[in-house]
Amino acid sequence: MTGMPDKNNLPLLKVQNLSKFFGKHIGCYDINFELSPGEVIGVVGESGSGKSTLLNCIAGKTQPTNGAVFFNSSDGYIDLCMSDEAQLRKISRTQTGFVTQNSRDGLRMGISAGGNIGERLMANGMRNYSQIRKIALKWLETVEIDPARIDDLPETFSGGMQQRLQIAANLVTEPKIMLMDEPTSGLDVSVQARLIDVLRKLVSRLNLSMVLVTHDLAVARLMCHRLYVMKNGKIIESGLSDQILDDPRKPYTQLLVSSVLKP
Amino acid sequence: MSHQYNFAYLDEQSKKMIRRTMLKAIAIPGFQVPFGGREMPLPYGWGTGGIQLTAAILGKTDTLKVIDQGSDDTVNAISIKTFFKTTADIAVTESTKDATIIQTRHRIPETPLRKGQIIVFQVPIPEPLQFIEPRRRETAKMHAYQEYGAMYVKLYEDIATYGRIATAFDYPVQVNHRYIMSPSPIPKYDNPKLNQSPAIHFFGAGREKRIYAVPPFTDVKSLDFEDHPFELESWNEPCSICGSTISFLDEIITDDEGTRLFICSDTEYCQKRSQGVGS
Amino acid sequence: MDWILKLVNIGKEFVFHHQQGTRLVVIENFSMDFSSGETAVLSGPSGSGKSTLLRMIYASYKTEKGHIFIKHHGKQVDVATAAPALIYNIRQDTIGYVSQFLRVVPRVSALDTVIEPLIARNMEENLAMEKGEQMLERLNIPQNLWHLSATTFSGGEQQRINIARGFIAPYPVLLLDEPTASLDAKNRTVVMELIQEAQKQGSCIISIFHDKYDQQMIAGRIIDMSEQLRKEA
Repeated sequence: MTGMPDKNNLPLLKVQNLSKFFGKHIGCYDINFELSPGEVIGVVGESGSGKSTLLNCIAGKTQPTNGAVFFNSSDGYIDLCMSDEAQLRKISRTQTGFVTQNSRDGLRMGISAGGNIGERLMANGMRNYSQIRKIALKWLETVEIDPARIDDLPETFSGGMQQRLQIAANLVTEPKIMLMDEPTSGLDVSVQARLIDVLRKLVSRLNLSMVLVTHDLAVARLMCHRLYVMKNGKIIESGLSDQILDDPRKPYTQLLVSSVLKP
Repeated sequence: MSHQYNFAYLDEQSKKMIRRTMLKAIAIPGFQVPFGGREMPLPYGWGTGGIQLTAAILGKTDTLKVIDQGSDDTVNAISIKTFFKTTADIAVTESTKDATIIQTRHRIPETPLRKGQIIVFQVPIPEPLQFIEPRRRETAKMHAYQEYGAMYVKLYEDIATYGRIATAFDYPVQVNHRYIMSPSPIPKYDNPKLNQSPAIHFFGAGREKRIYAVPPFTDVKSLDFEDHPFELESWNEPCSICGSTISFLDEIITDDEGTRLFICSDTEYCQKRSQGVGS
Repeated sequence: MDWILKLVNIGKEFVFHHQQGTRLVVIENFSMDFSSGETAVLSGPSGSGKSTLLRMIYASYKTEKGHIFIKHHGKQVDVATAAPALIYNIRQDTIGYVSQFLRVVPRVSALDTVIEPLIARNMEENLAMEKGEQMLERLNIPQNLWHLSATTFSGGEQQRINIARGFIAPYPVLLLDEPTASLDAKNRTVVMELIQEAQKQGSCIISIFHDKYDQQMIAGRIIDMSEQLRKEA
């Protein structure tokens, strides 16, 4: 298990009655949860459960139909759903990070690794090339990418490296919350293990908070303090990770846990 | 058979539409204003944007100079001059100081412009972020929210690849501390001329249908990094014809052994200097 | 002596929704006080709820009925209803748990696994590593394995890593679920020594041992769980 959440702080993120409908189709419905500093929560469920929709609403990529997403930002406690686009974009560049499932959506494939990491710094006004480069090198090391590859294009990286590059490019502004959409999907298991290891170290070193969407329960157990189980757009069970996985009480949770093959 | 054209080819309504766009462009320095580009008697890529701008503002008392890569007598410059002589019967000149309107492709004249002059630039690609961010919806937002990180990323990439900012022309500038603009493919040598100039600068892209402008006495700053500041080009030799060391020089290969000459790109400037005439 | 752990009318029922909704009542109306520094051994046949009880105390299983009061940092907390962040704090400082199986994390070395509870308590890293190495030596783990991940270790070796991790930091309450299973005689002795040291430090130890000899060695109060024998409802 990674790190220890601080029970004394105000919730960093508070999602209240969040719903997203696509016409009649329910994306997610009446979602409520809180995230404290240093906490990693997992949102698990199968395809179509609404977990990615939920994440996109929190990130401000999708406008929810109802509800609020309160974020304890540097400018105070604000509702992201009521923020204007300029403010949202600024927050998503500095105070939150979003790692997409497919690196192609989260990186500029035609820009070098260093450029990808440096972009947020430059967007926030950093104008010293050497300083940008130094910071980029440091982050490459942190996510275990060979610093000699700073000028290489992400196209030349393996899937796992691309994901780690995405993480570095997001963490460079030291965001309070990282949102991750299935970061380990499609990766070979050994690559996955490395990515998880890197993430766990980052969470404990940086006291990072994370919302991790995954359908992989093993990843959820390793990474997350608490889990929310979603089905058909609703949260059907939530609690401590080991409690949910060792003592699943709702029918769907039991089905999910029992379906996992153990080698 | 004589051709009966409206003055300067375009109909008056079209001219009014373009002028309205130009006023908007002046009001928001460096911002690309879309306009309803008209069908012109030459294809895209040959200066239709610039020509529409010139046509919209040309008056009977104007004197027009047209240059292409600094030269008054290339085919394109001559063609455009002839076009306006035929359709508007206005005076034309090669002298920078005598012109009221200067239409240019890829250079700003060496002779400093004065108050009351208008310079019209032909622009192929108006969007400076085009090659980093191809989605137009995204670039519109980036300009609107002043999110120019990606522009600096491009310069960063240059330094990472070449050790210095390799962009030699169409070097991005920030206008009036707000919008980032492509100054058209002029050499970076010409960028400083835009800063606090007494003349009006208009930029027209015919294919992309965008007009933008830099009003007189506006701050125009070339982008750079603190530790890689903006630098002008320099040459080891003066102009072979007039001896100038303060103008942009073209490099001309004169024979198969690789003998080369450096000659002022601005032909009028070079001629005046050789004749010993002040500019 | 004052209680450190107080179970009040706790009950636990499992419902297997995908097996015709079978309901299994494992614990019903169970109450017990545990004093600070006492040692208890849960005894009873398989199915009488011994492991379940330990897991409820540790909050690995949700307690639906009753209360599990613990004295945590001097205050009384009900594990059954405590917020997750508080549970984590309780697990870090107050309740330790040695299960039967080590959950192995790939790429994390055996030594790092063992010292994690010390690092969580903000012990300086070099000191923590020293203590970790001492513990691994005591449990006869060869030095060349210390920096490897436990994924390739034998069952016995993994269990010894588990034990090392469970005993490396002192806890007011220590839960032991068959800690000596899959160990040879030599290592069993080491575990008994570790338990005795914990007893001397004043930990309240609640344990499950299959072996009658081990039960006697521990010399704790025997709590007979056979009344809680799994009932089908």
